[in-house]
Amino acid sequence: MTDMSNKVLETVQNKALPFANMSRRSFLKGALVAGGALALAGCGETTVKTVTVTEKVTVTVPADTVPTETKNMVTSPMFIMPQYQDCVGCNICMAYCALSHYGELDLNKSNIQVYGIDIKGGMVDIPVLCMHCSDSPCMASCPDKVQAISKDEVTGALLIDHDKCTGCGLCIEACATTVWDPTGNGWGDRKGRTGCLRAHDELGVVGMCDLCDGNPECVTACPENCLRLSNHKGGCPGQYWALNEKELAQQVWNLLYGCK
Amino acid sequence: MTTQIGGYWGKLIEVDMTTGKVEITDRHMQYVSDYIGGHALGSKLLWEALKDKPGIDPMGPENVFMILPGPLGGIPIPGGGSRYNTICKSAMTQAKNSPYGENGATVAWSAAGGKFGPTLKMAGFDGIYVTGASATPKVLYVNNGEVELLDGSKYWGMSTHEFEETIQNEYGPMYKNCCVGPAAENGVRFACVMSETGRANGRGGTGAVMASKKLKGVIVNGTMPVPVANKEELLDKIKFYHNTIMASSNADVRRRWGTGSGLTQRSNMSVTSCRNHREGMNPYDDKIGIGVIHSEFWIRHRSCYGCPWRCMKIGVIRQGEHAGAIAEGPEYESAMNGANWLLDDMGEFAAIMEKLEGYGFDLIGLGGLVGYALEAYENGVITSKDIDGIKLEWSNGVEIMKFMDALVSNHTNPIYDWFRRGSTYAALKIDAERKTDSVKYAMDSKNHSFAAHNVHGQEAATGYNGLEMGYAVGHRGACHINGVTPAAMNNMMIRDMGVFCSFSTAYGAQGETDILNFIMGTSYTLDQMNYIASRARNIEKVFNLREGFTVEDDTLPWRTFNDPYQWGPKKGALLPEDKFKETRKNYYTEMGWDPETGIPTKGKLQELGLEDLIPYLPK
Ligand code: SF4
Ligand code: SF4
Ligand code: SF4
Repeated sequence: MTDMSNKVLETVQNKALPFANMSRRSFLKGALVAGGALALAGCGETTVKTVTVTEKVTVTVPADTVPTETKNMVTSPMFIMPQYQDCVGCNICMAYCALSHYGELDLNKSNIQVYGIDIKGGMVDIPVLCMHCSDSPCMASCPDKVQAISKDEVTGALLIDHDKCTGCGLCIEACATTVWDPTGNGWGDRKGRTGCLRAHDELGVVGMCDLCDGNPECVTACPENCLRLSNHKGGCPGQYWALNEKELAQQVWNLLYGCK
Repeated sequence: MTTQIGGYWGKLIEVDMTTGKVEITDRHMQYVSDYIGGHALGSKLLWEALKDKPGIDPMGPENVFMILPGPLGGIPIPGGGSRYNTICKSAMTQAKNSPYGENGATVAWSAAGGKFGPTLKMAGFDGIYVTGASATPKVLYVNNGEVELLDGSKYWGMSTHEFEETIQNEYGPMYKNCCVGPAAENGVRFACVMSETGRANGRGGTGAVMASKKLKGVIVNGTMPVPVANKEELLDKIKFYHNTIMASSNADVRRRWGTGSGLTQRSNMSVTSCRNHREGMNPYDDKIGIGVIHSEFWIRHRSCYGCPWRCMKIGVIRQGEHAGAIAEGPEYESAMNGANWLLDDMGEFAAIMEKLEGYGFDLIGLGGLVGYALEAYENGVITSKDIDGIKLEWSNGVEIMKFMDALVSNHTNPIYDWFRRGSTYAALKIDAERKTDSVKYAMDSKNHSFAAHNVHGQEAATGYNGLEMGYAVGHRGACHINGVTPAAMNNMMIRDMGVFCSFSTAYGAQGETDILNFIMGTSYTLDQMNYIASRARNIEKVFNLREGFTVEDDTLPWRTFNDPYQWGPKKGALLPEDKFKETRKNYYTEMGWDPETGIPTKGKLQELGLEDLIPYLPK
């Protein structure tokens, strides 16, 4: 980095706390003092830009101080791992995903969905999103004639061409979760995917995460640092996230509240 | 309406519960540019509906019950997009000498966060307007532009937790709901509308009114983008405000403790509600204070829609008799159910919270009522014989829980009919029957409980003392989020128009105005917003006057002026009555009202363009 951009980074870090990385307590403290000043100065500011300054830190600064250099967070195949017990259900990730991809706040189109589930008054929030299975059954299921789904070579992200997609739903089926069969069959021939794909009237299918071209909006946006990038063996092994949101919720509930 | 205003669909769901007819109208749109939304818009709609029907029974079919998210509803601007107001004529408040007897009541509004309000907005509607009353229980089903009134018999009687779980199982996890609990169904007036297990439209008895219409709940799914004026810049703006609020000075405190840190802090300052508001310092802070709550109870944080502060806390009791009790909270106002009853056991505190959320009590109203009952019991004004053997002693959480059960379910013992209506109401009935004067320690104003802030011993900083004006002149009765000076009260009204959260103070009134302008595509100045706020406040004042409220009602109970603190660092503190009266006079004058009677002057109403209110002023 140039001297200039180092300086910008320094000033910015002292001014505003972007979405907290909660392990950085000291960082947080420094940010609190000058925060009000930024808020005031920023009120009338119309030309603001958002820029990724380091891998984890996105800040909003007046346009004329924006360094030109940005860096991709995803440089090899990765997937996003939600830390379920940390999610507070703020839906900020959904809003950012929808707005950055479609320019409108249609949460139904967001590739990440957060389900708030109530069990005996103890709420748990379950983010559901694509795990970028390394064997991509969704892509494989897309009919040869259509081939609407492709894979980004660098990030391993799935790209769906909504113009080509016919909405046949085969990928949705390929990405289904499996329910444990207590009558002896166990997991059976389980698919065990995330179940993140959903049919959509206008777009055919939604939920295919493109990792925001290497700068995942939801990961930077999450105030709880609950969405974490992992590059485990070039993508999630697949057949890993077998539970649907309700079962996941029960597991998380057991972990948090089940203490008798 | 032809003119498009950002943040509004132009569609209001109108339900006539008597006939079961559901209509989509634009009744509210004619007022939007003059009243913005939320509380102010609701007060105007209520005034238009009830101005010529003073003294109607708030629990009867004539009352109107509204659910109004503001223009920001559904837009994830922190502290703005998540909230909604419930508005109606209050089921709780009482005038001392109304020509309409027990039916003379104030306006009521109450805001709550969570995800119900934004989801309703994203379903394509600006709000719900309920009239009439049904004979059988109903639920209102709303799904992306469709509305249907469904039979709700099977849900009637369910606790708020059961309702929430049942709806999620029947309809799926994307459905949000608000509902009333068994308290409201059984005629408890201090009952709230609940959503997401712990988000409550607590005050004013709006839940009691909803239940009087036999509307058990509203079930809603919504995924449509709310129309906004400046769509292209929306993401940048949202990011900007997220950063603003995260960088604001109280972000760390609120994120970590919610409002709960106040429990210990305000006890140390000797201004919390303790022992039925006789004291300001909690002697059991080491047992139910924030240190214990944090280490023994809280499990996780939770956010309202679009807010990175996650100030809602949820906990579970892990050992002892009450192991497994799960509750949202405590937040600061929970002091009403802890210190105010002198509880000294975290397990009992949590179990009480779980119960009151399930029943759907307004925790402040319940805190005030039970506080009064505990003291009346101590003084022998009521005995355990009167209340079916319950030993209503200070600190005895188990017996208090029995009393809560009885409030909801005991319909044979008539004394509970009094208790269900609040502390002053009950005190006056009991005093009349037994020649006692327990009303001296019924800690409310206009029969609406004090919140968890005591007014004894608060220092004058503004020429106004602590919260006493908020309590005494509040338009919904005693109110802690109403502001204490006319200027602050306008700010609070601006906040309630958004509808903004009370805690997201990072924006200030100017910032809130900027946000509203951005979303609505308008260009209001702060002066104009203040003008709008004053108009709404004067409408509410005239509403109350017309119901029979007078300067005699703008006061505080005997204890505040005559019964000093008996322990703590501010032992002996009192609020001098003459000083209070002087402050009240200043307040009336500053409002442009008659300093003696508190009646708005004709000149003031003309200045605000409210000439149409003049005929309604008391003669
Ligand atoms: S999680 Fe679903 S959409 Fe994502 S790669 Fe696996 S199968 Fe495909
Ligand atoms: S990485 Fe991007 S596309 Fe994927 S869920 Fe997050 S915001 Fe949406
Ligand atoms: S932004 Fe993070 S905490 Fe908020 S809902 Fe999404 S995953 Fe959960």
